[in-house]
Amino acid sequence: MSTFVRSNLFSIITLLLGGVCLMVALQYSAASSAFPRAISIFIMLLAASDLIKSARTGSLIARDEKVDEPTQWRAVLLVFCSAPAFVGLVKLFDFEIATFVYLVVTMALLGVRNPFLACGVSLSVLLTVKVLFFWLLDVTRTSTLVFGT
Amino acid sequence: MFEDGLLGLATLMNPMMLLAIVVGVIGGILIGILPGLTSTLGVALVIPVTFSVPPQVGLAMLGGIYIASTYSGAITAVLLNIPGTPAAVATLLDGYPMSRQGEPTRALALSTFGSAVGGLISVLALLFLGPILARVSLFFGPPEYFLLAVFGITVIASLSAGAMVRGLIAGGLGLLMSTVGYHPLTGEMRYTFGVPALYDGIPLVAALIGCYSIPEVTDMISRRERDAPELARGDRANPYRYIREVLKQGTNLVRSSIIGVAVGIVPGVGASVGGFVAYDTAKRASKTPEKFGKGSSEGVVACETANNAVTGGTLVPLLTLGIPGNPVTAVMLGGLMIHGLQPGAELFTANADIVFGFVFSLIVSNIILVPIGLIFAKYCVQIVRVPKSILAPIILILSIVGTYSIRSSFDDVLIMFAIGAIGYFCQRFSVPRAPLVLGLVLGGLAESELERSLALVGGNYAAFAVQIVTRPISLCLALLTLYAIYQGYVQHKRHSKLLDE
Repeated sequence: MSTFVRSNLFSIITLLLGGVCLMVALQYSAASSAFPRAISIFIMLLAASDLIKSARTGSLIARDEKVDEPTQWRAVLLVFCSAPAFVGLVKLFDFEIATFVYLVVTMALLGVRNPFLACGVSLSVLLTVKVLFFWLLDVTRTSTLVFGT
Repeated sequence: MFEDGLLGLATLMNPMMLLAIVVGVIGGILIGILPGLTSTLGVALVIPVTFSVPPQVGLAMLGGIYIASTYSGAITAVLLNIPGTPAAVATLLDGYPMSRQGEPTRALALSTFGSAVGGLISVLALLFLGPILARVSLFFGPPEYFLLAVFGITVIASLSAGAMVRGLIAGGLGLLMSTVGYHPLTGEMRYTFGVPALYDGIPLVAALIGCYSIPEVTDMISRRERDAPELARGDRANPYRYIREVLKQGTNLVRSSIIGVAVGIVPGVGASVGGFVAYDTAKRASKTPEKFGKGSSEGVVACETANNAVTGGTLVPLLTLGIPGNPVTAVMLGGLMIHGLQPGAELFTANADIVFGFVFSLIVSNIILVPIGLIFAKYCVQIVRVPKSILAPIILILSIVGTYSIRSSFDDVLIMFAIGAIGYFCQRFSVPRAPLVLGLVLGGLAESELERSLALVGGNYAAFAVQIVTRPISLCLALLTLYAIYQGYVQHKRHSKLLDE
């Protein structure tokens, strides 16, 4: 995707986003939505000015960098699919098995070919998380007490 | 008062006291490094432990945790571009570029020394100016709070050099995100779309983790072949050699400390804002502002000095008036009361040995933060050599567990990934993410205080303007804000001119 298209695409997306937020804000009472309404209009104005400026001058993004598109998309898929995958694994099994499986599979997908290394690292991370978060800090119980959720 | 101070100093001779400080500092560093675990949670977790020890020992441990966890968020910010705590968000603007240039030890050493100096200055401010400063903070009403938030938001202009419009858009998106949840006055739900997890708004820590760790991991995976940066030769040397580099920045240290203390004293603002404001001020005052955002040592020192100076600042209203300025001090207030101590003017007379012992323990905590922090930094720096194919899944799992640990909720994990998508979107379109975070942090304060200010004058905007001009503190803040906007505009023009040339 060229920088110029990318530049315009950002402005268009934010313009639409501002519009959607404004429309949603209009459904709330005026007393509750003055602030989000003002911010939405502010975003739309900025996006429109960026679009106009970009179209008029054909200016490029200041800090552009070349990105390897296919690799980037693979990474995006891997990261964003991993969230529901991990949650699903935790609900299917339990935290320990889910974490171990998740780490080993992700490392394998990222090119770690040595199974001993993958298993060793996964077990170490699992142990660290268990000890620090759940045994030593007792996060689940205490955070429930502190934040009342 | 002199005798009371000596009594407090004498408590430091107790070996238990020193042990408590060391344990507190080590625990605080560990808490700050782990994403999702904040100073608040750290202090809350340790309060039950302090039941079984004398009050001064327990308080020393709590103080050590508070100081060290505020500092150690910088370690992951510098090495991984992921702030361990909200206080470290501004640090990554220059800390991470410095680390990418092969100088992670330098960045961590500057952070450590800066934090220690900021912390020390703030404790001295607590000791000598505490009661006076606390009285000034009582004059802060809704208009002052609103203007303080607006002043913080003007920092966006400085954080977006070269992409000002995009920075402002990101800041606007952050402000919009801060409106999710119930309205502060009417209670009406906004932008929640029936999702209960959003009723209380977007959890800040989940947003921070998502905004920084998810785009970073995605980037790490996509370019893992071009792996870790080589450590510069000088970087492997003794980190103590950078102490001179920090001390040379005397003006920067003092200015950032004053900003940190001032921000800390005002309830509800927080260390992340202190870091941003100090960064912005250092950039404006610097002879080399073009180096900011590219690994400037002034930038790293300013943020870290200010965010640790906030710690002493927040203790001023807590100890002198019994007003907790942030969640950590709210939990600490509970800790004080559990030990039978009632904050207020009497605390300094009836329990002088305990209070002064606590204040002196904070000084010791800030001093021993340097050797302990540097030992941790020495080993943590090896993280940059770990292959990305191993590091990326570990960061992902720590981000997930860290986010889950805040409220024991998988909904928060999904929110974290959703914010991560926005962060990734910003990264792909070269939009700075710091304004987004700043908008999210300050949006709630700006909106609620604006509404309260307007309610005080019956919704009349003209009366609101008159109120700002006639109140001395709000007038000062308004003038400061206008000056910051003007400076931001001049800086933007200068940057555009440089780009054209």
